[in-house]
Amino acid sequence: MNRPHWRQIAISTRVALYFGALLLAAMGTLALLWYTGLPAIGLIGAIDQRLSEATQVLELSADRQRDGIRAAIEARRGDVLILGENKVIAGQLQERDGDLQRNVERVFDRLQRAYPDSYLGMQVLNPQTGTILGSSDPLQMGKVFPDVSLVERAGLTGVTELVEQVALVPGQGPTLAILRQIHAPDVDGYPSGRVDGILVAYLDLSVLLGKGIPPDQNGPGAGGVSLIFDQQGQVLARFPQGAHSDALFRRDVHIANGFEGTVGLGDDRGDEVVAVYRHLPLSGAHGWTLVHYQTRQQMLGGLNHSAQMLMLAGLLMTALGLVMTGLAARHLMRPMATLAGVARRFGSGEQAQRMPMRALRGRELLEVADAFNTMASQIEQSHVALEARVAERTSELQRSNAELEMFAYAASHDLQEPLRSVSSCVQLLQKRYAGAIDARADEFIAHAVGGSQRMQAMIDDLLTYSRVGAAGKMQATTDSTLALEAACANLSSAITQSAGEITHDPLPTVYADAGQLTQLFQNLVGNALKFRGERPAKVHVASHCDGREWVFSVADQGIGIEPQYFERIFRLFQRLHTRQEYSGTGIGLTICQKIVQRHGGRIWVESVAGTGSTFFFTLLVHEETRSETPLSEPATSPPSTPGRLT
Amino acid sequence: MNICRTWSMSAVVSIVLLITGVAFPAFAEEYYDRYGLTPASAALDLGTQPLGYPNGVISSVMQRDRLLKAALAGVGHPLTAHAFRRGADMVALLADQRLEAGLLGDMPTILAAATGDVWIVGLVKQTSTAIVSNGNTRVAELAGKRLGYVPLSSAHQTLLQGLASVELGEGDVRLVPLGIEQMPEALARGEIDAFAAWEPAPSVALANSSKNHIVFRGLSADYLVLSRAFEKHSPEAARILVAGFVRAIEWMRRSQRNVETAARWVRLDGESLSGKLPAATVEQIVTITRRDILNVPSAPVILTAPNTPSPLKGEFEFLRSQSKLPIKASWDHVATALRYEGLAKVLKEPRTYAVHVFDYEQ
Repeated sequence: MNRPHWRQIAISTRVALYFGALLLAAMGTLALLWYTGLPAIGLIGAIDQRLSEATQVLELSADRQRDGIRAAIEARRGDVLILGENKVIAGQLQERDGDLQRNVERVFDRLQRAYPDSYLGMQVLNPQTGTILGSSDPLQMGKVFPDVSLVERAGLTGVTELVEQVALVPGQGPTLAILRQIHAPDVDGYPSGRVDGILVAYLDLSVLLGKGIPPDQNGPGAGGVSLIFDQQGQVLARFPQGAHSDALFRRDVHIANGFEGTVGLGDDRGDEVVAVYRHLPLSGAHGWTLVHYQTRQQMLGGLNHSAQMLMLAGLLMTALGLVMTGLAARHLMRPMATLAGVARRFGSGEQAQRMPMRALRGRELLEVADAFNTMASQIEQSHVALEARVAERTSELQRSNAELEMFAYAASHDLQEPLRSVSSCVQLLQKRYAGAIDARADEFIAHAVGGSQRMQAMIDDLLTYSRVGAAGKMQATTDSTLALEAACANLSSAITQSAGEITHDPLPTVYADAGQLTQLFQNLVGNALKFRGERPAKVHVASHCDGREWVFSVADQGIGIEPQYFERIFRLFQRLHTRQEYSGTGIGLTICQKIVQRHGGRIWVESVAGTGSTFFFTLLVHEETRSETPLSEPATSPPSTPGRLT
Repeated sequence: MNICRTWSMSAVVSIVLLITGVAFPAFAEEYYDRYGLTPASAALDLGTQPLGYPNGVISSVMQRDRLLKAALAGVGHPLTAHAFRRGADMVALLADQRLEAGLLGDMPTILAAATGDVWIVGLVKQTSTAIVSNGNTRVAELAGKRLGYVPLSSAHQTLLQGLASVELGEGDVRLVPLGIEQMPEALARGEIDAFAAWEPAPSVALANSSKNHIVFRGLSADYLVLSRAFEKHSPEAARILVAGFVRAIEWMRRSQRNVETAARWVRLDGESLSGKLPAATVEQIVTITRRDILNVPSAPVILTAPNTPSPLKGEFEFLRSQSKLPIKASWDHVATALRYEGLAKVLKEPRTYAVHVFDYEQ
């Protein structure tokens, strides 16, 4: 399959390709800039920006959660502060009043009503023994607080308040306890500095932390997971359930006491997790660690989606742009295709073809079409005029040729009769009066006889020459071997006389005037016999086909011809030798040339003086003989067989 | 004998400061030289840091405590407060008794206590000291960056902790010593890429620009420290000072108005030291004071819990691992310093020390 050459590609296709390439280059450049380039629109810049923003959001979210939990704890500490400084409770403690239990129950009930589910229970302890003096659960009355060391620490001077994680019941989850010293004032109301009791309030951890970490699944920090570790690395809460192991975050809890910061962690699956750590202080250096994290994928989720959509949109726009450019270019170039068709039909002869102007749009196209139509009209007019002149000239030429041939024919024919009379009389005169007058008279009479005979020969040849054009027969399928054989038969006496040997290769059947082809061979072979020199004549006739025409050759080993005479020998009555050396009128090769030209062929000679000559002539391969003749290759086995004609 | 001991302590502290890389000219005049501090002074010289909160807030309240002043004057040790830019400047002065007391960050406290010169009385602040960065969100991104810091301060320790958390050291960053009040502006001008500092610098920087991030925060604490020599010589004067300290916290806990008043005082004291009004607003100072001391349970008592390291133990070990402590520094000295009983006595006898009676110069 042949590929179309670049120059042959349609302009519409070119325009589409140019614009397509331009569009692709623009999109590519834009994509490149977008990906690596300008910070404002670059993907890498956008990723950094998005990560920075998402980290900030994550940090803010963690801050909010930390502040929420701290605020919740401080609110409960405020409750306990108020209760711890309640003079009624302090007085009841000081006096070991039996109403303390009822008072604690009543206060707890009010707390429950004010802050539903925030408190699990409340107790008042003896700071020395840890005995429960009052409790929201009456069944606990009189029992000893399970963590005596905590009571001791809470009762130390100056330790007004402790906020500690405790386990109420072994095996159950931890909870947060706020312990506050109760100081009964002195008589004058001044704080005594003595610790009269310890108020303990137990907070519901799930409520406390749940309020601090409200679900945030729709905001900018959506998808984040929060974990709360205690000092020992135990997970206290998780909102919501995360996909990552707690251990991934626990290892960083002890970077520093109270550590807060943002770290990037790699999980087992190779994903990066950005974790924000926040400290939730309790008592002293104790505290919990809040970890709020998101995967990098979650942080970039929206951006990745946007990037994919942008890429897709870019590809679609490019494809659409290519199609639109192609269609537009084809639409624009359609008139050019029409013009090309019109021009093609005009060139093939339909000279009435014109470019229709009505359908054209665009100044350039209108100008081109107008120019074409103007040119076509001028060519048509010129063509008509030229045809008329050619016809006229041809007619004149034909008439002139015909008159000329008629004249030559008539002249040669009409001259023969008087010449024959003169020749007969001169010959009679020579026959009857030879030696009768004197030697000079015999010489004159001999000149007259010779002259009349030469004139007879010249007139015969001229008549033959004129008959080539005027009296030629119709061309037909002709066996060139038979034509050669006929010519040799006509030359039999000359062949015998010259001891000549005529050979030939297999010769083809051609489309020609059989008589003139015979005449052609006869003249060429006759010349070969005549100009044989001192040696016996050896003539060989051959032929080959070069596709469109047969090339015949007639080769001899005679005296040859100097190159400067190769053209001259074909002129009328041109001789290279005297009549004494070689007889003849000098018209034979002129007749050959005329016969060949009449058949649409060419004739020429190749010769080396003293070695021999080869005359070539060509005949067109005719349709009627094509089946017998290979057109694409030279004939390697012509139809007739080689032969010898001597 | 006392003189020899005093000089030996000074030499040790000076050597400590030299080997920890604090670049200061040995004989150049320091800003606190003009205070004329001498070991022979009868006054109770209290070192304060009015540019740090709530450290400076408490000292500003104490300086205006008429009861405190009267009580100290009554025992022959009138109160004189001296403003310092950083706690590390007080360490040598405490060691040679040119200062009798001071409010210090945890690193200077350890440096002072490790040589056995001071008692650690009570908590002045419990907060997170932060590394604030412009544009960066993680500590690891600070490699090669310029970091402002206060040498030998609690912020210095936090900086070391932060760098160590991502396996970096001081050699991996470019340290730029700066005053605490200079840091937010230096960050805004791009002179530094981050800084490690205590409040109010982080809050001011965060309020200045949304591009500023806290990339690391470590828990740190400030303490009231007392010269052991002074306490030994005048234990009652020491308790009176401690009572003034407790009273200041109690007074601020009583009402929001009191805290706001204290915030205004500390701003004035900061202006006196630095020559310009501090960037932190009254509201910011109040927030910081509430969060970092007033709302800390049982403050100013230093709480210890069973099965947990003693306070300052972790910091001591960290500084030792970072070669920031002299070889002779002893944890035993620090542990002993934490056993001061004066605070408990004051709290036990609130009437004696008038802990709940307030009289401040308005």
